[in-house]
Amino acid sequence: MQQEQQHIIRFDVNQRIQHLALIVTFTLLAVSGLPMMFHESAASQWWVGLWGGIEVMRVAHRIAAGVFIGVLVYHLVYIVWRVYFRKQSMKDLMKIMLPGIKDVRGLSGMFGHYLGLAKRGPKWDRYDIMQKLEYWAMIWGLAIMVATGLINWFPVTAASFLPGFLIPMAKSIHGWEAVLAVFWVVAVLFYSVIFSRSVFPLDRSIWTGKISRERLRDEHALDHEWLALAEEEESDEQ
Amino acid sequence: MKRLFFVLAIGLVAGGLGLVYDAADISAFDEADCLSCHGDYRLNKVTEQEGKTSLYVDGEALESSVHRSLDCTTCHTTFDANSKLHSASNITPLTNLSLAEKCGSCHQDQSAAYLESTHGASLTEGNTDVPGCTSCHSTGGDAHSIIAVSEPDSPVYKKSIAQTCATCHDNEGLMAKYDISATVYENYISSAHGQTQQLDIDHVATCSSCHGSHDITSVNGITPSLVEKCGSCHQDQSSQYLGSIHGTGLAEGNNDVAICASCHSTGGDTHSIVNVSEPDSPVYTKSIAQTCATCHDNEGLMAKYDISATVYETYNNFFHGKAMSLATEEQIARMNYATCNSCHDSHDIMKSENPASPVANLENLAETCRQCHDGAGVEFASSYHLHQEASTEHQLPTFIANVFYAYFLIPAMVVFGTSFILLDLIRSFRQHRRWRKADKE
Repeated sequence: MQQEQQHIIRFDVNQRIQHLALIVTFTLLAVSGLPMMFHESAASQWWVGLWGGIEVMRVAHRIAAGVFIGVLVYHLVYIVWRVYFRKQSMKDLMKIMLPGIKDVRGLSGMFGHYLGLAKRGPKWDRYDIMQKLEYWAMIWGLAIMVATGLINWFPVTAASFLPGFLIPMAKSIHGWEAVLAVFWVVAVLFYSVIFSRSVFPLDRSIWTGKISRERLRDEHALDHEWLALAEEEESDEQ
Repeated sequence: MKRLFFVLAIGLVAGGLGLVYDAADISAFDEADCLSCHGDYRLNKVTEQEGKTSLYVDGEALESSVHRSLDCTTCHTTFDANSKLHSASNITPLTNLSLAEKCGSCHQDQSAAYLESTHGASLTEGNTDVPGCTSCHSTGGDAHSIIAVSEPDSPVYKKSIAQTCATCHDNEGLMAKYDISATVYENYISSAHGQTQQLDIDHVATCSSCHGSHDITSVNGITPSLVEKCGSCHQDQSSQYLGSIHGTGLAEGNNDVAICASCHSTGGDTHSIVNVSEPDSPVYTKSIAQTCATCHDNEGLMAKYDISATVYETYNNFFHGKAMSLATEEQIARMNYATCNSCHDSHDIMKSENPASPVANLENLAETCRQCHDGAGVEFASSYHLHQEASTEHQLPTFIANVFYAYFLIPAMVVFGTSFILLDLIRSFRQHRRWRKADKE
């Protein structure tokens, strides 16, 4: 009976909503922010003109930033909810999310496998190293973008309790970090979830929340082992 | 027919002579006597050198001229009523030059100024292209129909001055002969002055407002007099300018500095001054920075005065410049984004080292920031880049961040990300090939 269940729930509805909200706000922030960074290019001038000038775009950027911060809060509340109300152990969460020695070994294993040095790729847990990197880069980038963005949004207030040099520094970092994030999302993330041969034309798991048992076994072997173990215990209890 | 004219002419001359002989006393000789012959448009003389010359005087024009109360002999002084046939021998025809002297017997100042002017001096040298008194003061250049300057019919009635000057100065061929620009009228008439002069000529500059009239001389180079000319109407701006770093430089004979026209007219031509509210103006809000940059972005020129040449670039790449370049006209007007003059002032611009400058030190700068940024203090002011790129000496934290991102983090992530993609591609193709092989077997 257990073997018939071919799809496993990988993401709950909260996670799927967070992902969707991130896509919308990230896109809005990128298309309203980058033209300000590359203000001299004709494309930026045209694009900003289409929006009705920088003041319109600026308001859009700030609204998107507000929602973006909201998603971050949603995510934190979600973690707390999982720990306190769903009784998920913090230890488990950390094990799933935090990169460790195993991941470093896994990374070298992954590249070794890619280069044809190892026959099999490493056995990943719930999230592989690229996904963990993605997540933490996202958290790290988000924190930097929010901090620098707020300094540039309220420079006079910022200067009233922070050193003044942070304002131009924040402006610089905000731009660099944006370019980095857009590069990573458009090149690496899009490759992983759209163009990679194993998922093309789209990795649907974050949209439907489901992943096939076969794929879980292939790509997240350890997670599948945990799952199999849990299922066994469950059937034993029955 | 020819014969009839000949008879008529003889008859007229004879009749005229009769009158002349009848009047022995010159003081009793009046206009009507002259016009009895010269009032006929058919009267002319024929000489071997000049051919046929009309001797006709338009009685009506004479009557409506400002000189209507003068006698003919006031100007034609060599006329002798007692001499026979007052022809070439006893009445000298008035040329432009003799006319200038003649007019000067009453209008001494104007005549003297004229004879010293570029036009007058040229005339003395025998140049007949230049205008004489009548060219500007009478209709059709006829000395008998001088019109008072206050009359709307006068070619130099204030509203008509530019057009009158243009009869020569808009003539390309003629101007080329003297190597003078023939675009002055065209430029002037489309300028702020030219466009508004018809509305308020009492306050709007025309040719003579700057060039003078009788005493007009050719303009040479950039001198404080150019500013003083503008200052005859724009007093505040001109006196502020003359005390500014640009103005004091100009007074010291420095021709590198910006003068009024450098910023207020297209192409620096004094004739094409544009109102600052017009988008064409070099100091229309959106264009100010670019206009200052014509000098202040010039490295060679700035090095000469030990001034930074990065002001424009740094302005452009920071908040104010970016906003200005991406905003709509309406937003620029409403938001009042800072540009050069917002902090440095315009006409009375000072060296930033000058303690009175709005950007001289952090206290002054903070006060300047507060014009727009409520509550800005010294710490906020200190965040400004002061028009210098981040470097090891200036804005070190920003410089470190730039180096970290540009030379480490971004290249590292790009290398890592792309190698992941490439290797995954290679793996998936290799796997695919393996599967295909397995299928065949």
